[in-house]
Amino acid sequence: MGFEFHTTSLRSAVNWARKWSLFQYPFVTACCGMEFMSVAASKYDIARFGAEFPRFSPRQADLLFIVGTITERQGPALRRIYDQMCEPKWVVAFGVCASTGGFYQNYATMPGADQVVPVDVYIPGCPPRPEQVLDALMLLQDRIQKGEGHSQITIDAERGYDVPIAAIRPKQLGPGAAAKKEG
Amino acid sequence: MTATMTSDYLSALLMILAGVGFALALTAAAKYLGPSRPSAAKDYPYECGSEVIGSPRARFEVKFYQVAIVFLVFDIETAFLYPWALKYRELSCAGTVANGVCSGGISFFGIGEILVFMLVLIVALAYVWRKRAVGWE
Repeated sequence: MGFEFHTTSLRSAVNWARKWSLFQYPFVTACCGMEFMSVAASKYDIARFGAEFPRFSPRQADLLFIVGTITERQGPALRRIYDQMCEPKWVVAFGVCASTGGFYQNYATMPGADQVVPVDVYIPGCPPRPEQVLDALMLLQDRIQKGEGHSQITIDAERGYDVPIAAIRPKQLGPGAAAKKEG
Repeated sequence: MTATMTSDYLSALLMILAGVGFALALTAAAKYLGPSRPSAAKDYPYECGSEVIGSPRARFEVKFYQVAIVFLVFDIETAFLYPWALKYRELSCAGTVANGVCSGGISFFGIGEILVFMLVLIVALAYVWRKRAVGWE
């Protein structure tokens, strides 16, 4: 026979389609934007991973790239944009500032974007090299395929599906959130 | 003849069916395979995450309507000039044109035609000018 058959479960097939068709919303606030442009441009070519299409409306995006420092004032805006995105959705903290606040130690800078939105993958670096970004994207694709994204877990739990136990982490909304939930 | 035409249009029909079918299939897949979780935030207008200020139904002056109409007239004029310019060589030839060489004498049909067309538009321009529709006071 000239045909080859590939059997899979529907969820696995859907997740496969999701991981290769990420529409990003670049929330660019700082100098990491330069590296983001570099990743998007032809030399590093994020299109190879199916994520070449930046959408500047959260309605059309399912991957939130938080590129740069998030201040306390920007927090609510970031949260609203995350809330407005289609589901399932994923978040990548691009660079140390988005991940932890970076070298800023003051009252204005948020110590990591995960204070307001659940982050799936953190990229260190100030700014990160394009290779690191692509590595993070591949990590995210692995998580999407396994159904381990925060948004995927929420939806699966709502539908009563089995949620991968390894994917449930206490730290979903910043360091304080888990303690608040338990208490 | 009929058979050739049928097969010509058949490929176009298949193309249309494939295009429409693909779009419908993707829309259906998104509807039935994707989760639907409506929320107040998703219904809120998108303003880069900020609060919305003012109404989206802002009023603007009726002058813009005039400008739009006058613009349309000259826009269409430009749109007509391009195909005319492409055909100008043939229109200026009394005979037939082969490999860019005219076999007959000179014809003034092409230039005359466009001059009449321009004249009509110039009359229109003179009219709107006199009616002060091109001013902005």
